[in-house]
Amino acid sequence: MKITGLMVNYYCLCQRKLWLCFHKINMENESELVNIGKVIDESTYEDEKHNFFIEDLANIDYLKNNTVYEIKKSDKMLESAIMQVKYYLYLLKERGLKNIKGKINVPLSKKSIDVFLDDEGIQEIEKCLAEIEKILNYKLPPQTLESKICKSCAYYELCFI
Amino acid sequence: MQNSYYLFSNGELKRKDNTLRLSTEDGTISDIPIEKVYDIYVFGELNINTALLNLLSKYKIAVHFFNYYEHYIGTYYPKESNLSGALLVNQIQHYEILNKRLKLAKLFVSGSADNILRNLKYYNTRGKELDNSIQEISELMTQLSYMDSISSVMGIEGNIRKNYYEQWQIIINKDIEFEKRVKRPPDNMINSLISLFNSLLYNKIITEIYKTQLTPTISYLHEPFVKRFSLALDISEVFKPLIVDRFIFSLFNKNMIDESDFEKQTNSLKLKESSFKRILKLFDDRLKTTITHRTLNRIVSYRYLIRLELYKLIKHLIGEKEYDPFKIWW
Repeated sequence: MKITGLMVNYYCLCQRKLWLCFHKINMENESELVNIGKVIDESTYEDEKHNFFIEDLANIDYLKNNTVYEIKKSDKMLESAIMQVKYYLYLLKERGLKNIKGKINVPLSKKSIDVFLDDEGIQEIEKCLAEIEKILNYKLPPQTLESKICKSCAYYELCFI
Repeated sequence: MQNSYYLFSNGELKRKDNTLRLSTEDGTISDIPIEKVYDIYVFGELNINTALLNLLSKYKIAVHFFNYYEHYIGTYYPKESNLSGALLVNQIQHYEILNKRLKLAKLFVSGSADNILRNLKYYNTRGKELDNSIQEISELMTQLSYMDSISSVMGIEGNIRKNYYEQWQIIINKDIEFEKRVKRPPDNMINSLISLFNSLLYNKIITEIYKTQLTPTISYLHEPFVKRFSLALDISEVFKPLIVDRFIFSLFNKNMIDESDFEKQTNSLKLKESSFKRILKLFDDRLKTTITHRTLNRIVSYRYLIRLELYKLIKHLIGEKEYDPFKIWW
């Protein structure tokens, strides 16, 4: 199964969203917040090399000085973003690229977070990939999170109606 | 908030950079920023070109076209970008397996009947004699569960509507001869308004379906070949009592419409253009009416209620939660 960087992110964020998105029941294009994120992605760091693809698994915002950069709208959901970047590093390592680091930039709050992939991180990623595969094979979507983050999620209405 | 645009002028609609530009025959030019457009309804004679269609597709805006008689003639439905193979398979399965289809068909009819009863009870408490009808329709609803074919479910639906329409002379404080629904052509003011606003509701629902992953041609109560987008017909049953019927009652009972708003065609009635514009505006306002949704605890518009209904249908189709048709709760 092909597991993308976005899927790793969703896995950490909400397994239900992961399942729905994989089954192409997407809600992102309906969400104002997602559109704002898109504009931030398109309008920041315009001079840097944009969108570096690892096959069809990852779409890296940009790569510079042995560093993978990921741009985020806010630093609210940092944990899932860190896993996403770790997965990018994992994919690059698998393809023979060593000594690559990661960085998450949050232009709106002028923050920058470094991400490294150590042995523990590799194990973490591999466990996560196995879990994702399991979830996507469920017949029904996983239950709603009922968390604070649901309120700003593009899937809110679908989940709670 | 994005708006629906209703275009009556004759002239040209084209793309001007990232904006829609309407140039009318009398020389006026108006620009509509594309981000503000939810969907478009064209009633005039417009020239359009592919550059415009390109822009509309990019922003996924459906355009509904009407002819001189205000009859719906078709929709420019941009390329589907919301496709879910998994959902399509489920949508077809629920059509093909009779029990699954019957279940949905009955839910659409019972949802519609619930809302019809809500309307009747409302007027009943306001001194209109509707007790008999309320009882008869409630009885028809209980028969629904014994029906084992789609045509018999349709039959019940027809009988409920027939009984309901028979009460309109009581509900509407006007002396209009309205005994039954006549469609082709609508023979009086009421029939003519029902045709017009049912058709507009149908188009509103098409716009909403387009924004989801549902396929508009696969339906359950109506046969998928009766109309191009027959799923919209299924959904419209649930919403007609709230959106169309109540609207027509209030037009008459609040004296917002009378004979002078219509012009006689060879064998039907048609709203005059100025009246049509005025009433369309009222209808659009109605769709923007908001309520606090009980389950979501969010403020939603009538228009958005339609979308939520589609989400509920999606959840039913993927087997997550049984569809529970929308009920007027106020």
